[in-house]
Formats: sequence, C-alpha cells, structure tokens
Amino acid sequence: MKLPAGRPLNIMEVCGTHTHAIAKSGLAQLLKDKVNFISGPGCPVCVSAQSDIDAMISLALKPDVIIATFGDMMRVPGTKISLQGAAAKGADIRIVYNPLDAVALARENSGKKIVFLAVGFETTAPHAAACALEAARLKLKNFYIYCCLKTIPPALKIILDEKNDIDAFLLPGNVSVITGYKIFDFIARKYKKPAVVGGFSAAEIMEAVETLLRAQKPLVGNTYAWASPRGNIAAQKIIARVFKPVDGKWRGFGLIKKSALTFKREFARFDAAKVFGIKPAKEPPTKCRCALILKGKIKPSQCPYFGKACTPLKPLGPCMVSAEGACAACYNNGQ
Amino acid sequence: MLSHGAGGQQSAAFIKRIILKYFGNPVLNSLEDAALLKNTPPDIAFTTDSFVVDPVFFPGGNIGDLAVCGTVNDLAVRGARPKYISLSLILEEGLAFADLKKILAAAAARAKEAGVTVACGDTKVVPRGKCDKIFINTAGIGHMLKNAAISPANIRVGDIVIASGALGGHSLAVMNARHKLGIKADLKTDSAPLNKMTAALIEALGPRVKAMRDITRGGLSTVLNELAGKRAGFEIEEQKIPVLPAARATAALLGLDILDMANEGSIVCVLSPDAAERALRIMRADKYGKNAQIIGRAVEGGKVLLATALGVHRLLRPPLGDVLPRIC
Repeated sequence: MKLPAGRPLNIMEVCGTHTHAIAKSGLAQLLKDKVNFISGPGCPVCVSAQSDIDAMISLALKPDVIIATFGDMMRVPGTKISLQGAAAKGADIRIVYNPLDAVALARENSGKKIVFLAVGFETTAPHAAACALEAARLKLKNFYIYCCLKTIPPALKIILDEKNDIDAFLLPGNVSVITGYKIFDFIARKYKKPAVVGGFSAAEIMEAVETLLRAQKPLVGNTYAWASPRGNIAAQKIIARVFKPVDGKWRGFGLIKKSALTFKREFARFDAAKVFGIKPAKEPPTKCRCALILKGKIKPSQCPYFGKACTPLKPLGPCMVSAEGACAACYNNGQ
Repeated sequence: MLSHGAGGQQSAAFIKRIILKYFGNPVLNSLEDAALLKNTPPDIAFTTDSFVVDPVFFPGGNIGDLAVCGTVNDLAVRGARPKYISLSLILEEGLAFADLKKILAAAAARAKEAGVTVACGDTKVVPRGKCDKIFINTAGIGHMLKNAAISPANIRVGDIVIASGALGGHSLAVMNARHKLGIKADLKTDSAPLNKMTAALIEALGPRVKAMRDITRGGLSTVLNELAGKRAGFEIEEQKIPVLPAARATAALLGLDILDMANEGSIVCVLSPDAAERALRIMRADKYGKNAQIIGRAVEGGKVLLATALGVHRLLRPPLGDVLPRIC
C-alpha cells in the first residue's frame, strides 16, 4: 500500500495478545520508522464497563457464592476494591483456565452457588455457551454465568466512524478462527482500509505487517493458518444456541448497538445478573483516559496519569493491570 | 491480601512498609537471601522461610523437598555452607499420616543430600480448615565460606551473568496441579539443594563470585531487578536463557512469562569476566547445573534490559505478584 508521507504507517492491532507480543518482542521499536502500532479495543477486561466490574465484585461478596474467573480479572480495580480485595474480605474466588472447570465446581459444591465470570470476545463465547449447555445437560441448579461477552466488529465500526488516523488493521487470529474473517470485510468495503488477520508470534505479526504493506488495494487478508473465511461453524452454532446479540456497555465507548451477547430465554436461568437481581448502574466517573486509549486516539504514555498516579500497583483502570491491557504492555516493557 | 506474599512488586512494597517497620534491624534490612551474623568466628549465615504451597504434592516433589532445598539454597547463595535447619510443622487436623510421612521422608532425604542437620523443630496441629494440610516454617544456619564475598554492591560493569538451570518447570508443574489445568507435558519441579555447586564456585573463584540468588518467587526478572542498582544494571539475551522445553510451550499456551516464574533449583550468578568460563565448567559439572548458560552481563545504567530474539532491547520489570492464567 502507499505509505503516508512524512510519518510511519498507523496500524491498529485489535487484540491485546498482539499488543503484548509487539511490546515484548520489541517489534514496536524495531519497526518504529515504518510502522506505528496503535492498540485498539482488544483487551476484554479493559473494555468491561466499570458497573460490570463492580457487579462481579458484589457477587463475589455474597454469601454462599463461589466465583470462577480467569486470572486476568483478579487485580482489575472496582470502584472500591478488586476481586483480590474481595478475596481478602473472605470471598471464595477460584481461578479457572478452562471454563468447564466452573461447571465441575458446581457439581462438587452443591450447597454453593457458582458464578462464572464470562469476560471475553468471540473466542471466549463458545466456552461460556458450552458451560451453559453442560450445566443444562447436568440439570445443575447452582451454576450461573455473569455474561460480559462482547463482539469486536461493532466497536471497530465506532472507531472508523469517528475521525481517525488509522491506515490499516492487524486483526486477531483467534477471533477469526471462531467467527471467520469475512466478518471484517466491512473494513475494506465500507472504510477502504486494508486489514490482515495475523498470528501472535513476532514472526507471524511481521508476516501480517508485510502483507499489509504489499496490499495494493483495501482488502481483508489472512496470514494465520488456522483462520478461514467462515470460521468454526460448530462454535458459531453453540454461541447462537445459547446467546443472542444485545446492546452492550463498553468502557470508554458507552453503549454500542448489538455489541454484546446475552442469554436466550431458554438459558436465562443461568444469567447471574437476572438471578441475583443486579440492576443496571450508571458508569461512575473516572480519571482514567481509557476512552481515548481504547480508541487508539492517544498512546498510554500520553495519558497524564501513566506511570505516575496510575501504575500496576495502583491502577486507575483495568488497562494498567490486565495481562492484555495497552497501558500494562507499555509500562511493563518500558515504552 | 494473598498477593502480598507472592513475590514481585506487591511483596516488595509489603516488606518495606510493614515488615521492616516492625522488625527492621541492621541484619534484616539488607534483605539478602540470608542474614549475616557478625562477631562469631566463622561468620554465620541465618535465614528463615515458610512453605504453604498448594498442592503439597506435585510432579517431581512435595512441600518437604521445598522446605529443605529452599532453606539450604538461601544459605548457599549467600556464600555459606548450610549446617543446621529447623523445621516447624503446622498441620491441619485430619492430614493423613501416610502423606505426612512422604513429606518428612522427602525433607530428610534432601537434608542428607545437602549435608545439613535438622537441628530443631516443632509441631502444631490446628482445627480442620484453619490451615491447608500442612505449612512448614524453617530456619537455617550456615557457616560462611572463607573466600565468600557475596554482595550485589560488588557488581561492576562488565561482570558476567550465568543462570544455572532450565527455568519454568516448577511453577508450571504446580500451577497445572493447583488449577487442574490438565496439561499433559513433561513438567516437574526443579527443587534441588544447590549448596555443593555454590560451595565449589566460591572455593574455586572466591571474591570473583560477586552475587548469587536462587531464582524463586518473582522469577529471573525479579532477581535481576533486585541485583541491579546504582553501580550497574544488566543486559540479558533472551535467547541464551535456559528454559525447559516443555515449560516454554506450556507458558506460550497459557500466555505467561517464564521469566516471572518461581524455580526451586536454579540460581543466577554474577561473576568477574575472567571467572566466567571456569564458573560455567564448575556449574555444568554439578548434576543440577548441566543447563548453565552465560545469559548476559552487567552494564551501565542500573536497569535490567532484555535483548529480544529480534535484537531489540526492552525493559525487564519484575511481575506485580502471582502469575495468573489468562483469558485467551
């Protein structure tokens, strides 16, 4: 593609794993004269609304509740405390890697209510759906999911509809494996920008970047061997069986139409928000500049709080502590 | 909070703000792996440690191995010959005798291997649920080796950094067992007493051995940041760091960084450049040092820099606390 005059090519990476691979491998520094990597809304923890994080922490503090969560969530700051702080107050919080382990917890602890915190994008959604299906098959009455699942394309549309300097996109290989990369066609068709699906090693990212640089016209390409145009049909089917699209609240974005997943009526009994009576809450004010960072409008280092009032030990927002957060990537690798 | 005991930045802050506030004294304040007790010929190294690992049994060892090896290694890397250790057991009501015997047998075997005397101990049993099966507290006393002059203050620009073992097996084996990840890989703890290797190094190279640390909680990144200071930082070559192959693959799968993970049988050693080759031969001749590698050198600037496979330098910071399995 034609390189912009007088500045490097602005490539937005849409996955937190890419963000961290780029920082850790040193790619950002290596390519800095040619490519300026801009982190997008690709960290599921970071785009979770503050009210959702607070709701999850309040669930953890309820009697007889065991929270099953991915490790990333533990340090994410709620308005008052984090899940780690809740654990210190006596909350029973178990870290799972395989979401089905949360279902096993429910079987093993029939006197307790197990709430799985489903935070993630299209990659996590089939796992959460499989949990609901398995819990239904086992007729479990003590298994719930706090559903914070989101879909990437609507957030990208918001970014592209607003004024932006993005020249091209590095798309997430893992999401594309599930959804198929045709769902990103709008980037080339409507917004006339090239986008390439890439893997997560430094070499794979470079391959994707090279493909972007060679692109003669807006296209959605793929360099990730496991991704296909249509994706994993079986995974899509179980998502569609359990969940339906709904308007979703994103940190930094506000409400985005049809950008989240919620339970279909048949599976509503697993919906922790409904069962535990979590009321929709207003987003509390925050000093965190996540709205600008998640949309790629500023770099973490351009936030006035970065590395000063906001560090991993005292984070203002999840982007500083999540394993995939843009601020954490910059801070931990010294950019 | 739990993470205050997990190594890394939160632990360091906790130690500085809380522990040193109450217990600070010239012996403890240096925060070395072992305290140096002056005025008693020979000088005595003194250390203490507590072991609360979950689960207590994991591939390659158990909490008994860790208690003895951990205490022995803290003395060893300070430049001491471990002589005596104490073992205090806090047991949960209902712990199976068979399990306790396995743990004590492992501890006894490791003590014999290391040549230390378990000099004293204590046993308490607490009601079910008040502890998790077994907690072990130890203290260790060692005699300082004559030629030992171990202190990060001796590190100079140009010194060589060696890591003794293949990293990553211990943390991932324990994590796999703790979180029931079900990963089938050749992961096991590297728990081992390293005092023979460290004594051989000091006897052969004396003050040319500047600093040694066992690469436990917080991992290599924490240890290197602890050793870095005003006089020198480090430049480490990522590709030279010895890593257990199964650990490399497992960490990649889980999205975790091996440099942040605890090991129980590996040390990092900083030496004068003229001692590096000989040190490498001595370490590789030891059964627990076969994978020893020169991984980098001391440089100006006081920071720890990692030269990645792409030849780019980035900052290597210690982890925040526990290494936790991730979302995707």
